Amino acid sequence: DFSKTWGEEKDTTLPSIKVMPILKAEFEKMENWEANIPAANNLLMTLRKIDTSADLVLHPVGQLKISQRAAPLLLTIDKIGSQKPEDANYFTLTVDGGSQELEEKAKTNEMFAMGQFKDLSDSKKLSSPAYEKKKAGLEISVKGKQLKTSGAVKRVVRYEQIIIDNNFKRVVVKFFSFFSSLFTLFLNGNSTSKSVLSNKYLKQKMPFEEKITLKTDEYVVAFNTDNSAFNDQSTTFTSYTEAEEFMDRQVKMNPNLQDGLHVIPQVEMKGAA
Amino acid sequence: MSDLIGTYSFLPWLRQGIANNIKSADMDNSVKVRAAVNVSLTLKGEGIGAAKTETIARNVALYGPGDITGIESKAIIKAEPRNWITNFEPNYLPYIDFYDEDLPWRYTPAAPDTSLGRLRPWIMLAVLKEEEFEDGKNITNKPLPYFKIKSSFNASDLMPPKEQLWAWAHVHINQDIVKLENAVENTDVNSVLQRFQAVLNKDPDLAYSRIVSPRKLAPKTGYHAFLIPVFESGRLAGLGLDVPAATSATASAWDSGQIEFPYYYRWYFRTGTVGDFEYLVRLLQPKPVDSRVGRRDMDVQEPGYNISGITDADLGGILKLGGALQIPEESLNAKEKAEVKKYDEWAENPYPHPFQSDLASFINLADDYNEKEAPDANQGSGISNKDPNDPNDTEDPMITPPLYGRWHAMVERLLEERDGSAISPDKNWIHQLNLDPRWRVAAGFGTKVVQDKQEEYMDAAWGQVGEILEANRKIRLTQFATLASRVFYNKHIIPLRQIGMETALVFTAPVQKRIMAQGATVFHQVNGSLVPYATLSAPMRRILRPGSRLMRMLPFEAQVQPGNLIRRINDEEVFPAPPKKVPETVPTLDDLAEGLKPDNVPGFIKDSLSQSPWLQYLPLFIILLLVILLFILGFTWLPMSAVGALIAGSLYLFAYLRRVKQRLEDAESVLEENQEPEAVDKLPKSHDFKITTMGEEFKPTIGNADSPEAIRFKTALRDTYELVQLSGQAGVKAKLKPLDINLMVAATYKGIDPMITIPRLVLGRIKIPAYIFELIGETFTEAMAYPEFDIPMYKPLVDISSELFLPNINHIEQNSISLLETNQQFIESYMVGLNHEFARELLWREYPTDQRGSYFRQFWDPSGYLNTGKLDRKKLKEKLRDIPPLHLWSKFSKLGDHDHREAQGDKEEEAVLVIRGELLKKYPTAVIYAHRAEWRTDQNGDIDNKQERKPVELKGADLENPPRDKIKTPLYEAKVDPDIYFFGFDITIDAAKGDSGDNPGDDPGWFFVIKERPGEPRFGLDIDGQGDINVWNDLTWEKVVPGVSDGDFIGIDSNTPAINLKDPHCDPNDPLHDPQLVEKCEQYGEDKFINWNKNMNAAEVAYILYQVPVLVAIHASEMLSEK
Repeated sequence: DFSKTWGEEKDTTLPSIKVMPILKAEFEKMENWEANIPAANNLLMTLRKIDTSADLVLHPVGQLKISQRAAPLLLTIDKIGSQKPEDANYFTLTVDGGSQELEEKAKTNEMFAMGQFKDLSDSKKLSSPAYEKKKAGLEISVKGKQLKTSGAVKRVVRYEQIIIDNNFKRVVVKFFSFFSSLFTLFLNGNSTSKSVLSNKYLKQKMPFEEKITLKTDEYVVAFNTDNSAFNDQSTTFTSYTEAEEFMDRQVKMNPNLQDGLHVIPQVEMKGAA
Repeated sequence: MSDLIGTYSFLPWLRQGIANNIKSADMDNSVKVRAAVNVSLTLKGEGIGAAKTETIARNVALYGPGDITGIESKAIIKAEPRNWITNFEPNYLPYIDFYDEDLPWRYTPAAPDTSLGRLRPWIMLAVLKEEEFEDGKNITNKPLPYFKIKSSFNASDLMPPKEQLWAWAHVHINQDIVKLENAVENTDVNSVLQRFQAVLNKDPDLAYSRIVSPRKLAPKTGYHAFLIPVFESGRLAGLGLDVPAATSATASAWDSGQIEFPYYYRWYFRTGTVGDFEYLVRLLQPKPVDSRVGRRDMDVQEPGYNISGITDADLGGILKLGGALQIPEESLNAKEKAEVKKYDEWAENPYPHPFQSDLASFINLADDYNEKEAPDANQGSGISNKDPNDPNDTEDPMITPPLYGRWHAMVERLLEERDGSAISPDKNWIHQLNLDPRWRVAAGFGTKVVQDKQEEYMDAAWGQVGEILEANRKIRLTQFATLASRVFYNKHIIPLRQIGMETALVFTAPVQKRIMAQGATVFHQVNGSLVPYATLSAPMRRILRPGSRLMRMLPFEAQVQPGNLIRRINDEEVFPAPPKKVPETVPTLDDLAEGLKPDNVPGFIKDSLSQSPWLQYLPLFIILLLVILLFILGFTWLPMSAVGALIAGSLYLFAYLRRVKQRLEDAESVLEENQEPEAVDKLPKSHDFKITTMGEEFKPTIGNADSPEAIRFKTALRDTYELVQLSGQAGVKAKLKPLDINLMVAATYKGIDPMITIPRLVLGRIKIPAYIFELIGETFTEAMAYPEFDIPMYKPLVDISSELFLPNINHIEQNSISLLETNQQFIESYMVGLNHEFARELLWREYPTDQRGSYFRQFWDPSGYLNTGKLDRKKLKEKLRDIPPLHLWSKFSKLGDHDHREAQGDKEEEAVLVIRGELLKKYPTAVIYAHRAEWRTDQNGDIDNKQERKPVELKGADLENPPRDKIKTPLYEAKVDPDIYFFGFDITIDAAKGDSGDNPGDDPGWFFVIKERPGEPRFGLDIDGQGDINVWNDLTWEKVVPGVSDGDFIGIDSNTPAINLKDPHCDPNDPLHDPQLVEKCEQYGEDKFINWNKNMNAAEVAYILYQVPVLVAIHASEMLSEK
């Protein structure tokens, strides 16, 4: 046996990198904040041009969306590009509720190249998609109901009924209660339902309730004994890495699961239709 | 069950989304330009060292009125009164409705006053007289038009008090969301909002927002109503001015003498003196229809293209173009009838008319070009576009007119086949439609409508199917992938099985975790079998490679081959590792136990005792037997001494055996299986037990109690024994089963068959609705769909021109009621035109469909039809359609034979009632339906025809579902703005009028009920009325604004005195009971919960100002008889 080293010894590894400041800076960037308008609502307004570089102005209807593409959240990252994270490798973003009465409505997704954040074997790199959807931020809005008001008052609809018969004899019944079956039917023809914005017009244009829809790929963490789902939370991962991340965490918590779990497409899950 | 009585609910304000987070109050001058909310996020990092957190805080400004420079007019669904109404009642309040429920408050830069339930809207309604303002002239650089208050007026006098604007906007909901007995107001915001949300989810059309003007109008005066910004920032933005940074966000637009106001929307109306609902209903008079209505002359003399014109002398060079309605034959006189007949039968004699033959040739040219060169085809048809003055003009193919309905009828030619033989039948609907100019024109209208609205309809058509293109692309790619994989599978994977099942098993090992067999994965099955998983692993494959070093070195023979190794392991011919054995020289517990057993006892006794412990009792049994024998046989047959010796011997034997047994047990107690916790309990107790060192001579004495050391020792021993037992159990290996290799391979091959796996994977991600699935069947093919539209298609036709819908429509008299009938042929032609053109459009836009769908089948608007049969939505829609699907039209049927309503067996006489009147201008959505009348009777129960009849009262289940013999709502309707309405009723005039009532059993006939449309209430106060206020409907202007004069505003401020209702004393036993007031009692029972006072909110204001709508029931005998 022999061992020989030659050439100049050089440390080619890049210095590790602090990720928290990067993420913080990303979340503070104005272009990463936007206000979404709820789907059913039509804005119907002409808005004045605003110098968006000077000020962050959000539309009061709808939700606030904060998202970034520097590093995925809720995923243990091994690296950023080719640098090791120094301060932390698993990030979460939460909204401070408290007096602001704000809460998280959903997590936003962005496309991330997994090879940039995970140490993957060459075969894994080849077999996994180049980009995957990963959690990247939050959508926040008001806690509880989206709507607010104070109280309601009802008014029962009674008609002044005038009956004309026999040579224009006239009988008046004040406060004649109108039954609701016809009330509901006749609501159908009121000005609202004639509006082009109305649900009725929309239904006339789109009478079918269902459409052809494409679902995103979904993955399941399942037992490899019979492909049954590991638990209820493990059935709807939108990406392979996300499912893998979940699996790794479970194994870390319960080492007995080592070699007992695997990630499969949802259609292969036991009991999947 | 739904509520039995229609109910409205009002909300004082409504806000949505992040604007709910604004904390600054209204009129807070420290907030400049825009309101802001503070958002704080926490970023947490974990995983390396201690967790780290960072806070990201941001003050987020919200769009405010200063950022709005326009409101789309479609956001406004209604203005009351309508634009250019000239007889609005001056005691009513104008208002404007918005589709979005939260729009009036959306941009208000302030938080609501939750204690009073008030929030100022950011827009308001200014209603000005013509002399109070002038239009802004210079509109350069101004995003909105504006008006200027004339110098003799003050803006603050013409606008409502700025701090009270909260009162003049509210949300209107057409359903009860209060849901309280004995109260009309519900302050439990959560439950209210929950119900509100439920209403919106059910149908968003049920709620909208409204802004009311609180100005008292003068009679007979013209007014302009403007929708203007409330806040100064909004005013500046509308005028195109910069909003200075020092502007308070909530400063009002008319705070400090401003005179220019931009407006988002405006309309004009005049107040009148007469013109209430009943008055307008009474104006309506039955009139015969002018005979010109429904027909229009159409010049047909020179069609061009060498086609002979229709120049028959008696026709005068014209045909009569109809509309969707026509005058019923019975209302025509003999001369008119003859005229109609002449024009209807213009082509009867002879058929086909030369014009028709030529037209057919022209249409057929398109098909001729398929087999002939253009000049030949043109020559043959006799149609030419050749320039007669140019001898060198070569004949090009011509663009031929469309053959309407060709895809639906699957027809390529008219009158003549390619070979010249006649087509039969030649007078069916497709020939009529295509060869009669009257119907071709109608079809052309349909074409025009589709062309005008193609973007909208195509957008909806794509919207109906969702992601069909992407889905189809996926399906195509999947088909490709399936077939490509299939080849690979067949060529490379299937043959492996022929080489050997084991080879196939090894080859498929990487996917075995994902393949199920017998309820578990193949991987799991292999793991539980005699075949170790390692034999399927990659290193093993490497080792067994034919050329490998090991393989070359090992000797193989016929039955021993690398290829059958797995099978041999499975059959236990080969063991991956030899079975475990205890080495002979190792001392074991068995040896120890054996050594402890007594030596001086014969082996057979030891064996017998360990196998059958009961043997020790055998001597006792012998004694017992002996004693019994002695008793039975007498004591004499054996000498007593012998008996005694036998008993003594047996007793000795018993003692001996017991001792041996005990020794054996003691020896065996060291065996592993006997080291149980229970065994410790059996150990003797010793008060002086102690643990001694090796070699120390000490023998504990056996006693009744244990020394502390003994107790500890026994505890330890017990634990140790437990461990021994558990580890023994854990160490037991499950019996490994042989693997059914063939079954596993079969399951795996099935599981990786690309014909199954790929479609399963892809189709699992594509959701195809049932109705499309029915079209394409179950095969794995691309989806196609027929879009469908339920839009009443008369509307777009009217939008082009009401003259196309009904020629000479303006000859319908003002304030008249008349009768027409549908012109089915026209409607069918128009509908074919629509469908034909849309099919072309779908083809052009590469919509995945064939051209045979019936996309438009609704001509009239059937939304007023009462679903008495309780049909589900789909069946109801089908029932109300005007034509059957086009591809089902029989080739032998005539144009006009395809009335879908009749086809369903409802042979209804469809009289169409036409109403034109001032009523419909002012109340364009008035409801009209028929209600069965009943006679009043005298004491004898006989008909009393001196009294007016009354509408039949509905009771019980009829209220929920009124039967058609009591209530008839229109089968269909149509409206031509501004003031003409068409209703299709299945009721004849005579039946509606009923009988005189002079004879018993006379038919009471029907009432026509005309009423204000639900969902469109009106607000106002009474003009006069000195009496008490028992219900809020009695409230007058004078009472609310003492000394009111025109132009004043209703005010609600801290000085507003309370107004209370006077109890009408409804209890009949009450001494103050007044029968006159009984009719108000029910209303009073609700009104008493609301008071007019300084702490009201907008919903309460709306409640009080709400005016009871009017319903006029007028008997058909009054309405349809000329007065």
